[in-house]
Amino acid sequence: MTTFPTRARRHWLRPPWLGACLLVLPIAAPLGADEPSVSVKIHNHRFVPEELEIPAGEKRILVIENQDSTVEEFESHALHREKIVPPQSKVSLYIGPLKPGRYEFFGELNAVTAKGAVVAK
Amino acid sequence: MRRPAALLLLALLFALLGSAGAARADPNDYVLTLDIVGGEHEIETKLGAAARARDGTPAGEAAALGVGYGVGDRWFTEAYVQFANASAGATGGGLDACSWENVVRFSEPGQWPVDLGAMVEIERPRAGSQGWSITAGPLLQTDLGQVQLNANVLLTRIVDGQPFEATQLSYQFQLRYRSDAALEWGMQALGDLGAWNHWGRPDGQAQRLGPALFGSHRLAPGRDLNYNAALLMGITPGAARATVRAQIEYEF
Repeated sequence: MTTFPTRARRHWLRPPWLGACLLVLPIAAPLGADEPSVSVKIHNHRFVPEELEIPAGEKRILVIENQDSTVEEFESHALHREKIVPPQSKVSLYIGPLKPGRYEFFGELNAVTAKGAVVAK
Repeated sequence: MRRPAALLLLALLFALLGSAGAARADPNDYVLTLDIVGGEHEIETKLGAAARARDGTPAGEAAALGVGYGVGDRWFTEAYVQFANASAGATGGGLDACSWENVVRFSEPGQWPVDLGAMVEIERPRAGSQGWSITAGPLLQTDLGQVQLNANVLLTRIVDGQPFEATQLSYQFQLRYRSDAALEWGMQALGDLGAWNHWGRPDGQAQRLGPALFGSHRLAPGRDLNYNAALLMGITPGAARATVRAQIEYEF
């Protein structure tokens, strides 16, 4: 944002600014353990299973386990989710509540083979 | 929100509400979102051109070039340089300021009905007499079906600079209808309300509102080009009659 002068006055840096600057640090809020989850694996650059069924209107934690030795990026425009999945590791993200329908996702780095969908019924 | 996060946010607000300086909208101002991907790099440009305002504020253009990085899934940091022409900038044209912007997200997307985050930006104008500008505030984002909504409230203050006014209050609002990733529509609104504790009269405020387009194109695996652009019409005398703004991001 551009600034422009109006009238002069001396300012000083107050200690609370140090606290304010700490906001740049990530503040953890872990995924709730009480939410039901569904799981999908990435194996040989494919999602297994390729189709996940969840109840419409309910929230779920989607657990993605990358069994490959290369990084993958889970991406779904329909679900509005995007997350990097490091090799040999798991990540979790929230999906839903969804209206009944099919919500496709893919692996950004292996989009030809890594395809799948969440089906809300 | 966890207690430490709430305390930090309160500390930030108290800090901002002290004595402060003035700020004004740039033609290339943009709406901040909480779409953070840890490990992702970004090169982006923000462009804008504004017509003369009804209150006589001159027309101007501004451009910024920045590089950013998703430090984690909840922290995106970006450094950028801002350029402005003689009328839009505070420094007589050319390089206008250097900025460091940080966006943090306090929850996972979809964890709460509304995703909550915050931004802190530190800016150093090229004209050293203007001190340092610090902007901070909460960021909100939610999905209602296919509609993504963003609402942000920002406070800006100048530290150790010659200009002085109360801390400035501004807002950002965005509606995006998510359909085809390549081209989506929505609207954006940007407003500067004046001093945080004494909003300017409507004719002194700069509020802009208009249609927006959004899109994303996949260039190669792991490489995307994202854009959004808007035509904002001034709805108060202090705002440019029309502003064209665009943001283009190369993600890799």
